[in-house]
Amino acid sequence: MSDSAPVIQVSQLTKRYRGKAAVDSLSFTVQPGRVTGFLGPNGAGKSTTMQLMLGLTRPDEGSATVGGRPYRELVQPLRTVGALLEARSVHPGRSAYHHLLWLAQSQRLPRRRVDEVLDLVGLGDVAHQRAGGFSLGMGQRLDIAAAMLGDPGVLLLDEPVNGLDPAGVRWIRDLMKRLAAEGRTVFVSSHLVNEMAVTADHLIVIGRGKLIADCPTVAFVADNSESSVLVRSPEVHRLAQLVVDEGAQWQRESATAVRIRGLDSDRIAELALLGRIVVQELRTETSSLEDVFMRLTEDQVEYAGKTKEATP
Amino acid sequence: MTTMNLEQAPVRTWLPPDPTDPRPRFVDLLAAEWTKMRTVRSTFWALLAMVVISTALAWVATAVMASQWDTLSAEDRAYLVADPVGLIFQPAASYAQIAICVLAVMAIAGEYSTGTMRTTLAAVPRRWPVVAAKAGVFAVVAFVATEIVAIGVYLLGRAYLSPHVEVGTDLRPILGFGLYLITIGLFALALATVLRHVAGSITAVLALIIVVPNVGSFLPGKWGEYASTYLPGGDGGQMIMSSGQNPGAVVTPWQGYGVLLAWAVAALVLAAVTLARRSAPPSRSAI
Repeated sequence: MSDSAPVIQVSQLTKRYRGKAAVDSLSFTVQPGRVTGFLGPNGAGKSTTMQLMLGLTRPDEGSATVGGRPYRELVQPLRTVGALLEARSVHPGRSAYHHLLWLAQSQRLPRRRVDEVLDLVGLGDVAHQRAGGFSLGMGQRLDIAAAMLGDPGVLLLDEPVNGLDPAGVRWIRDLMKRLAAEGRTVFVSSHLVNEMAVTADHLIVIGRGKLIADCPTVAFVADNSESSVLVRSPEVHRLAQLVVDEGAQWQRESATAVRIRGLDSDRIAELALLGRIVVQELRTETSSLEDVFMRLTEDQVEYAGKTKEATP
Repeated sequence: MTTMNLEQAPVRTWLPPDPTDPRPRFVDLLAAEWTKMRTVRSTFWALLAMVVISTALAWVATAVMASQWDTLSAEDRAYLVADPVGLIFQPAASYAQIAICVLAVMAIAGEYSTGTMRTTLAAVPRRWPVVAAKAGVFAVVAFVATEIVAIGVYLLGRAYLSPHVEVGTDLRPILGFGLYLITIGLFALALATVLRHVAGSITAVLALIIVVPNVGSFLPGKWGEYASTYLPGGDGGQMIMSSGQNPGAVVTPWQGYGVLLAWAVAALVLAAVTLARRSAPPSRSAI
């Protein structure tokens, strides 16, 4: 095997709960050396997918492998995969040090790794305090320490920034980027689009357990966002005519404003000048990643509130 | 709280694990489970309470028996003469078995209530070794603690009763006290692995080992005898800490213990299979 970190391979992964597919024939790969965002609305199947990857739940069909092997076959799993699960997974009565100590012992890792990861996450000073007294941010750091214990090539992080303060969010974001820069495979789930936009290099988007998109973050934004130009002018009708002649579409926004699609603002300014039309405002608007995501997953949101009643 | 400055630390390239690194063995898992058990305060307090309370109960019971010796009925006196060791151990065992079962249930169901089980199963994805390691560590810890009780209770009882009856020096009942308790504890541990819930497991275990054999013993004819002899928690299993000479005994001490051991082993196998097959309890967002 080469020196690069293991690749995660998910193929045709399916998990049903009471006959309903939580994860539905999901296939994708996660490459090392970059942060891969796993994006989807709440209830899309992100956590279930991560539990399937960790062998905590058995798939009904398909498989998830790390470096070509199912997680359950790993002899020293924490040396290969470090995971941060969304739910609480530390005994509140045990100290941070002892939580990491038993984990290290179970993997036959040296005791000094415990001190190393405690220092890495900045919990060295509170190592002997009970984990139950930790703040949310400290608890998250302890989970990160546990994930880093075996110096794994693969990191699976389920909603790591949930509930953290801005400093905590920033810290996790920097850490993920850094781990990816070190050549590791970093897979992080989130329902926060904007968070993923600044953290992830690559996106895997799911809705209702199905794959919606699998592409670089930049391409995802470019492909899915549409821009339009808002023009305010006392002579919007004349301008609209000129725009139509150029093959673009327009849409009335108000008596003195139109939205134009299919032409950029430079060309619209030229047309206005040639037609001697006064333009009071010329503004390019790009739909945000949030909008893109909402549009893509509109019919995928599991528990969307009903906004309109079906007519009989 | 100090935090590593991520900008300052140099980025080093991640290197894959050295294939010659030592692989984890079963003893490493035993060490991990021992760390888990000794690093929660409840273990120490539960064991201390078990030692103190069961010794105190035995003290009171044997002291009362000795002081009331002259007023005992002929039947009771015959019983005492036949099995003084069993009567010394009885009061201590009836309390200690509750404390030991609670400790056993906490060792595994406590992991479910705190979510630690997810971490455990991610660390040991083959899973059944978790049951084996937990059972092993529990058995050793519980045996040491219960033998401290056994020796103390035996010496106390002997001091009080030896003016009236000859208390044997046979080692089997003294070791049997600990054996009975760890075996009933292993049965409880296995049950808790299947039920995955602290309060539910404690209720189920106490019902099974105390209520069921008691109610069963009222069944007519042979059925009552079978119930109290062969059910876990019944008289049969407790024979191991008696002289074996008590009137009405239908099995030998080792036979009775063998039946109890069979129950515990069967429950542990069921627990290992169940744990390996079932999904770990999902996180709150998974359903």
